[in-house]
Amino acid sequence: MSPRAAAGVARWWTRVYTAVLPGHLRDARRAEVESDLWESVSDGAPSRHILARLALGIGDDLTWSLTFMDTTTRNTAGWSLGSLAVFAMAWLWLSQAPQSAVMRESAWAFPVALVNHLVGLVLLVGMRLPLDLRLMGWAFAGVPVSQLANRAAPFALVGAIVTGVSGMALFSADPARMASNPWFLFKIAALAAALVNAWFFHAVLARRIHEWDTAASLPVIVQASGHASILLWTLLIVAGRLVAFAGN
Amino acid sequence: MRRKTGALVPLELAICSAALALRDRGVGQFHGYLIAKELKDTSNTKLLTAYGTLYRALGRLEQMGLMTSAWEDPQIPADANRPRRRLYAITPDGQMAVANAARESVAAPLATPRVSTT
Repeated sequence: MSPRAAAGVARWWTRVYTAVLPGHLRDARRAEVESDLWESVSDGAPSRHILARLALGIGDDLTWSLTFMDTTTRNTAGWSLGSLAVFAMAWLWLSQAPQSAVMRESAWAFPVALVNHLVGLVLLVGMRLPLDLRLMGWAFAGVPVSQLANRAAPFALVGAIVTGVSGMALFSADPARMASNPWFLFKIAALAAALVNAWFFHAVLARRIHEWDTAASLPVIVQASGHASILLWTLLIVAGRLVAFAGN
Repeated sequence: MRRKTGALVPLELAICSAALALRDRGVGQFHGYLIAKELKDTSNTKLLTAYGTLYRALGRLEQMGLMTSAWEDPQIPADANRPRRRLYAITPDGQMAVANAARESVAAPLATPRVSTT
């Protein structure tokens, strides 16, 4: 790798960790690192030195960024990383889950988990639907987006937890068969995409919600997020139903 | 471990000392890369201080009033065809902090309790 390419990597990282900071801090740090990189390359610094300076300072970059980011961003970063950790653990559990004797042998366990899975999903998607319709501009034009999002969020969260826990219980009835079911894999892919879309809306787009909160027609990217949400949750529900009919 | 209010960590002290050394050589203001090179030369290490570590420490020193900084006149980098530099300078308080640290390091061995080896 050439020193210029290494400087490009350092420049990219600086853009990443300063992206969430107030403008004056962000611009000052970017300009300062840019100047340092220019001096380094002009001085003939090898790429490994530039990359080492970058890598050894990442801890300080992150703690500095956390110190100066606003409370909303810090909270968003906190719950984003927390959610990611929960999903990583859930994924690890799914990949290692042993067959559950209770789920296979009890006359009640499977039907109860199935009913909870459906009720949770109805709650989750049902509470998300008004927000998506508002984002797409199809309904609730007079209601602020923030109001819809804030009122629906607690119910959607309960729905997500019930769906997730009951889904893991259902999966444990026969992990090997589920893991090889193409519709189940499609459903998980749709779920992952829907969650990324939800995160993108709440963590990125909603940062500028004050600019379009009460507008009847929302920015194209916000509308696109609403369309993507409805499409992905629909695909997830359809795939979930088809799981029972695929190649078994 | 949380540091004492106003206490300098070794890197901050090294930056202040390097700034004084530069000033003694007629360089009253310095940019990040220059101080990183000075630190490397005085500490005899192979690598310059990491970007994040260096600029975080400079920011803390400025916050403590031991350094000041100012962006250079935009015409200078425009003429030289390079990015604009942020120029730092050590303040009288910074100079005093180095002097205090030097006094403490001389006094510290006397204050250390002796341990009997017999």
